[in-house]
Amino acid sequence: MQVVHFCAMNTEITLAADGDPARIHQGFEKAQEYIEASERRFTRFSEKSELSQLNRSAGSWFHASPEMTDVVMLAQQYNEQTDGLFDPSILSDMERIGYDRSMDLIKAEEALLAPVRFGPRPHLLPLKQLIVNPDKNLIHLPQNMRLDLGGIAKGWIAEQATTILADYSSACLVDAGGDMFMVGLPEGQEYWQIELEDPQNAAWALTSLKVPCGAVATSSVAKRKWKQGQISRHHLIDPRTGEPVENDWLCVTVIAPHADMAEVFAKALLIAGPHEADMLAQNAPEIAYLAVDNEGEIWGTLESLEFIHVN
Amino acid sequence: MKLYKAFLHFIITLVSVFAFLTGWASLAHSLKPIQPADQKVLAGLQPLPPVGISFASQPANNRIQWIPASPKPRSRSVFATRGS
Repeated sequence: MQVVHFCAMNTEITLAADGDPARIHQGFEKAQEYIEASERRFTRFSEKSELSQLNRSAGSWFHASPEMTDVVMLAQQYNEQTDGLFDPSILSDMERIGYDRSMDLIKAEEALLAPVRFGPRPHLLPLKQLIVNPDKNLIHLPQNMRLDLGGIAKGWIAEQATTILADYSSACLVDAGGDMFMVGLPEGQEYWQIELEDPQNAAWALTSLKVPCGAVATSSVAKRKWKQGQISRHHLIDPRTGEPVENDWLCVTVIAPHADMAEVFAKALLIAGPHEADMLAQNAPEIAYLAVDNEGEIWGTLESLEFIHVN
Repeated sequence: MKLYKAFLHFIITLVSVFAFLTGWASLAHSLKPIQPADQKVLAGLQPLPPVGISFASQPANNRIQWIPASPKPRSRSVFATRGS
């Protein structure tokens, strides 16, 4: 299997494919081009991106690309399916806790400490007030609503890029910082073997998964951390409180038919935590999930056991 | 009187033998204890977690269960999912 790595969307991207080397090289180029173009469209850290233009249009109709319309519609659908635990309209909360620049910049400036901007939490509008007209690619954000599509867009882009790569390969995978989508099966294999990285030690794997084609995504509170004044922060915000979530789980991995679904449910289940996760998961019977707690123990449902690779 | 005593001995002996044989027959036809061959019905159950594990983070419902980890150094040739 041929593999290439590059950086995009503030994370490491891996493309892997089986087949004719010349064709695969061509496929890698197309997939990389697509990922980089999609990053420019969906980033909230560039004033020129389509997402920033959409956010500035709040209060009036915005003529969006079909890609933006798709992702915003999915976001609205998942917001309902996760009982509001996935909410892309928490951008003001993100900025309030210091995540107002790309993670690379925050990491570079960490020694200076992120500025403290405590203050009252802005009022969160229900996402159902957002209106999408898919026939005309029109989106209407209510005034004062702004979106951060970072996570869901990453999963969605990974799946689209895999579909592009699949035109050049019999079996391929795109991994966007842990959000993975797979098409076909590696030569001579009955499944993809995916290690579950230890959230507390990246050099170790806690277990190994065997996954047929489809998606795997992990959401973690152990990555994307920074200091705001003296307070430790991470990027996973509970929409109910506007604060970074705190419970006994460090990360959740979801196996699902689609990468955006895996990404969204990994985030929502981690926010739900050990006491509410299983009830939430019943809203999406097509997923299986595993959680790692702060003592390194793995928890999961009976359905998730079938994905554990036993040597 | 002698005849009465002999008759009583005979009756007591007869009842004792009958009771013994009834008990023997009951035990011989009772349900047998679980044999090793029958234990396969238990194979679907998950192993209990080791005593050392803290249950502070155990979910409140019983659908989520502890899954044994098999930690090992990451393999470069295998893909990995990690938090982002």
